[in-house]
Amino acid sequence: MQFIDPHVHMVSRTTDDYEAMAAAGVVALIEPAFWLGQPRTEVGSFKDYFSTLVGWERFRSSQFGIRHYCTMGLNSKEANNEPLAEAVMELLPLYATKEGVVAIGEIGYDDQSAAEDKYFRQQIELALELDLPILIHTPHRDKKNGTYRSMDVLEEHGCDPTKVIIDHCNEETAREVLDRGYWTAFTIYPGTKMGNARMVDLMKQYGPERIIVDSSADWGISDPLSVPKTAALMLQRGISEADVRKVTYQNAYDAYSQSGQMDEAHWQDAPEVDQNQLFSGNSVLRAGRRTSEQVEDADNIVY
Amino acid sequence: MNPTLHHLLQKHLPPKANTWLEGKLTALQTDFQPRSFYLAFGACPRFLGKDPLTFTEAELSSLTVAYPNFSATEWTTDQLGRILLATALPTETNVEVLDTLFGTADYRELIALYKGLYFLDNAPDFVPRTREGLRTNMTGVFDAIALENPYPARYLDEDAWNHMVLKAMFMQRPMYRIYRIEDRKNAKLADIFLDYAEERRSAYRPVSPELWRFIDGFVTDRARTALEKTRETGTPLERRAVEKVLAPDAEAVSWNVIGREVETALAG
Ligand SMILES: [Zn+2]
Repeated sequence: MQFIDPHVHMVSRTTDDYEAMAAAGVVALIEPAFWLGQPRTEVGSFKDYFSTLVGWERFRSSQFGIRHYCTMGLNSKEANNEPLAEAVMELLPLYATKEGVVAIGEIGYDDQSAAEDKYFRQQIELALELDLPILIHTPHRDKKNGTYRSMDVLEEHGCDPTKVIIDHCNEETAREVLDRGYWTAFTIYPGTKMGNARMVDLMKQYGPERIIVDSSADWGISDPLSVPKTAALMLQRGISEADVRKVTYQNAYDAYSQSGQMDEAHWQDAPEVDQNQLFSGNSVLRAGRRTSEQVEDADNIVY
Repeated sequence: MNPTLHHLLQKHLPPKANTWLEGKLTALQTDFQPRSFYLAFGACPRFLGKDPLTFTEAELSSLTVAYPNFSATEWTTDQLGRILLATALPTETNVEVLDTLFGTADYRELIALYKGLYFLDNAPDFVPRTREGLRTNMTGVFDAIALENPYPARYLDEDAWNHMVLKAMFMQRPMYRIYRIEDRKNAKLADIFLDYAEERRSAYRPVSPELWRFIDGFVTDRARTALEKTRETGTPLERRAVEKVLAPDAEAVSWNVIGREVETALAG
């Protein structure tokens, strides 16, 4: 089966992860702009991060035959540093129109502070101006209120729920998010978010419409194979292949391809992923995996 | 603005795309604003498309002065549109304006920018930018500068040129596709490549048969030893390459043919 992981922070992951994801059938992924585990203090750090998302990481991913897309946004945590947030807001329009940017996100609330609210609203307006989908990060703390408030604000600004993905949903928030017409995404992130057995139960309860599964794998203890592993468990527990495909591929595709930046043709007949680039020497596949036998021999490396 | 490029695009773009591009060019020339340049540059794929263009022989020959070797690579509508916009910038400020753009550019934009530098009226002012670009590890971006592009051969000094060529070898790029690779060979580069060959030999790692191209014409005693060793122990293609250096008068295939064979073997 082919999968899309529509939420994964590859800048924190290794080439082993890319290899494993490709082997497991992940054909495309979306890397939302987020925070890095530690607050940034200079706008230049954001600029370089955004450049990485549209440049280096996109390239790194392509070397493993996985199509890389991203979202652009100022996350809620760092929105609390107002002078910095102002500078980032000036930077965003420059990046939001780059190739492969499929949404404004992940935006929303963390502490639900006034500053968070201010930049959340400004970014909603930017998405509306550029006609881009929106990816909402719902908070860990006070999740239910934070989720409902996010939707209230989106609706206040006149957003079309079919162009908004509400992420990190759980058993407590799913019903309301679905009823209000949004794409409803679940993060399979053992420990702090959702385990995949719970996800199977949710699927049995709600069916596959407008439901999206992602890994949100990042710098924490997380699993970049969450999507294929959850699909496997779903199949094993009797959910049909057609329904599994919807929640691990099609729904994410339908939601984000509304940006005009994501097209199945990119991975189905991918002429740009040429072997020459895949196995170039001094980049990611450093000594050239293809010739690994030769190199092992020559270096007398014993495995 | 580069008139040849302008003319070429006018002939090849569909009417709607032409109108859009002309509007942007006029706006740049009547009231230059960096912001409108950045937005137009970013929007080129959306309004001009990304299709490769096919040119007539006459068109290609009209470009040989403005951009030698133009016909060696594929050019797409968005790429040439972006380059034309860059050539419309006032040269007094284009280094600064483009530096900002380089600093925020995506992969495709970087490729267009580096491929297009040669078209700028003050192209020599972009040597530091080109050297910065060569530090990339993104193969496509490196190739946009190093392969078939007339810029490095014309504007990089010997040290910068040598660094580029050496890095191309490290990245396993097809060396024969570096424009004017033969003309800009030099003794220092031959020496560096000999060191490299020895380092690889000590590590029991192979070297590209294309490496010997850079020794050809600079056969010192040290080089002769390395060549003879390779003649004994090398692969068939390596042996053909070193034979060519050791017996320059004998009939042999060209370096470009050897280069193509190396490239085919790597892609295999
Ligand atoms: Zn995230």
